[in-house]
Amino acid sequence: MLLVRLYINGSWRYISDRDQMAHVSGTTYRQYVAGLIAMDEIRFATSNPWGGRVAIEYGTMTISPDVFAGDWPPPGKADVRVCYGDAGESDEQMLLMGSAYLLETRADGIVYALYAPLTTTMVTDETFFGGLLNVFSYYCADLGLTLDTGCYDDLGTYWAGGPNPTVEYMASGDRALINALADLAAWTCYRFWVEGTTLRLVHHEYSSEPPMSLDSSEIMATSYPASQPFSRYECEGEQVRPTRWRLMFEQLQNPMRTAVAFAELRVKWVYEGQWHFPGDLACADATPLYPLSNMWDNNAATYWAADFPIGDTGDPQYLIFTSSGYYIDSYRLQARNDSFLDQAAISWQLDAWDTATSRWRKVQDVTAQQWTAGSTQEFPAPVCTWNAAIAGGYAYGDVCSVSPSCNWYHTDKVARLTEIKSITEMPRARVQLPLAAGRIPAIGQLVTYTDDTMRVSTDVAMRVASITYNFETSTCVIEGEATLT
Amino acid sequence: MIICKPATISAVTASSEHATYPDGNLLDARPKLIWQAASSAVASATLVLTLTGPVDTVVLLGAVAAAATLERWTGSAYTAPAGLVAADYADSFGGTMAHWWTFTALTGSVQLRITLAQTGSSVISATNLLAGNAATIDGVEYPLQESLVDTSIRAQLLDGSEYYKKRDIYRAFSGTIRAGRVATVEPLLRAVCRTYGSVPMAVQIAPTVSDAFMVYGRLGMAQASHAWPTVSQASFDLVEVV
Repeated sequence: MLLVRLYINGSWRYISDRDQMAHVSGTTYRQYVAGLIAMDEIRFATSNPWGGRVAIEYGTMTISPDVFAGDWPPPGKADVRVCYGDAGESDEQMLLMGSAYLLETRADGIVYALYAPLTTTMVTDETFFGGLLNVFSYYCADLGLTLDTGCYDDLGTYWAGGPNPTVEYMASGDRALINALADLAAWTCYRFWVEGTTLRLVHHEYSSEPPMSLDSSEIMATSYPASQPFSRYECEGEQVRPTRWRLMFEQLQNPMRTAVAFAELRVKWVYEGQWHFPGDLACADATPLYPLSNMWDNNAATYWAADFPIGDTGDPQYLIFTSSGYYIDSYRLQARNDSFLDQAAISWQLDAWDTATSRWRKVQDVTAQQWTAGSTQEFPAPVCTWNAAIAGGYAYGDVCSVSPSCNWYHTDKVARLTEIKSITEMPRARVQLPLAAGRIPAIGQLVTYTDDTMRVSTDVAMRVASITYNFETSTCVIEGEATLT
Repeated sequence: MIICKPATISAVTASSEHATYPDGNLLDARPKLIWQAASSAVASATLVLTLTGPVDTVVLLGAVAAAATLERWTGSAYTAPAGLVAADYADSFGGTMAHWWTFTALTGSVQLRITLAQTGSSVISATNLLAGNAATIDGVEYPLQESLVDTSIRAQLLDGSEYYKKRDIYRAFSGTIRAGRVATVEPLLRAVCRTYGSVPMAVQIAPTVSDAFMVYGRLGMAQASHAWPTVSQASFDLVEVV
């Protein structure tokens, strides 16, 4: 039975789609009067498949004017709870808690729109380097909500956390807090919804409920919509500070003085204004590679030098610099007097190593720079801005563009995109069920069943990502990513 | 066919009531809003109703009680009203009784008392209390049509079995009446349908009271055809309220 409670003028009113006595406990029953003239479908879903805030898609509810006979005119706003129980309140399952907002007062029905609870709390300027759960815990205090992170794992064992990804930089103020949390949850593939004074946060793979196994005699219809094909997943770029660089040289002028077989180029790296030794240095056949400590430019620091064959135009040599935790500010190149020609043209290219995609990215390109023997030039380390993107599993389809909720390191962005990709590329399952108390799945819950109606009997394990309640037919449709075997 | 035309009962006061099931529910048109005595310890309960006449019929629906008696307040004592005829019908609410009293019409301010006795250890209860002037419509003809309307939800489940969720199943009646215009059209179409519309009323359908179907329901708008100045035919339909 559908059990709707409306809070009007300081007390709850109990209405349903028909007159019925709802069992409360023991021998206590509560009368629910037939006050519902119509009730739209109500859908709970996140705005994207991988996470975010599970919001109500607005529906309207038309209530008999009789319900308001003692409270006329109907109030502009009322708290509302919608539950479903077989016996009554004693076995009811909460379907939604929210607010009913008066749309229209008519002679034949009072029309209310349903809204999820709203908060206007703004984000305070905070920086977080902790886990996602810390962020939610921190802000739930601002929202006056209790955070429920009680999660079950796949085996139905109570599991307290979820992956709890680290939030590097929290977004700063001037945003509605609930929206900021929604973005943050989506970015980390969590889902949350607010039930009364509790914010329930679940990872897309975990639920606050133990797994539910459905029998084929509990299912009315199934279908398996394919996931939307994405050829690429990307999010906005950010400045990154690589710790591994490659400097490639090429001599552009063929030898004028064949007697000198090698030129030497010396490299220094600067970190926070200090010259630093590289943690590791490698080069190709620019040999030998050796540290110089003879204070070439009277600086206390050290150059690393590489000789490279002058004559090998079209055979660029390179130096690779890897620091452990140092980010370079600039680098300095010096042409050694005794091995350089009086003047030479050298092209070089500076690459940075993208650990996320395991490839070099060109960040600076200098063509045919004229060098005079003994001259020194210093170059700022280029600003490395590159977009985080990964290839989708399809060679066609749209680009899935995701907005990071706050500042993340490039590698984290790629990790997040990878998780989003894995969710969106999973098959999806859609199941219609009759409403039955205790058998209505929750968001995030693992639901398993065997589908014998398909050509080949199919075992389905799905994560509930959206629920649509139809109160006129007493059914619900659940949908979510699934594995089919 | 006899229809208890609804009059407005000013007030009904029960000698005992359960907090969840107050006596005011007796005057609510919805049968599922019931009145109930406080507990099974109540062996006898009274309902005192006050209204303004004329009134010649009182109907108590959905009663769970072993016996029910009706008396009127004379100003000094409760006594049986003149011409009292009591009839009990098994009604549609499952195991409960409809008590139908008729008596010589009372006018002016009227106070009536119904006394109910407990059945075994059941809690005394009832669903609706109606009172008013009865309209008697002659000429109801057989056959009468009776059908059941099922509002339950049914769907086929994945394994081919049926999902069936029982909801209300109610009776629907229809029939014809052939009699004179004054005997048929005036009381049914004008004195009942046009006057009260489709509000739930207590109806006994049948040419004779002893074979009557007792129904608490809504009359549709009856239709009449006048074949001759003294011969009219009317058709009616009645949907039970549950």
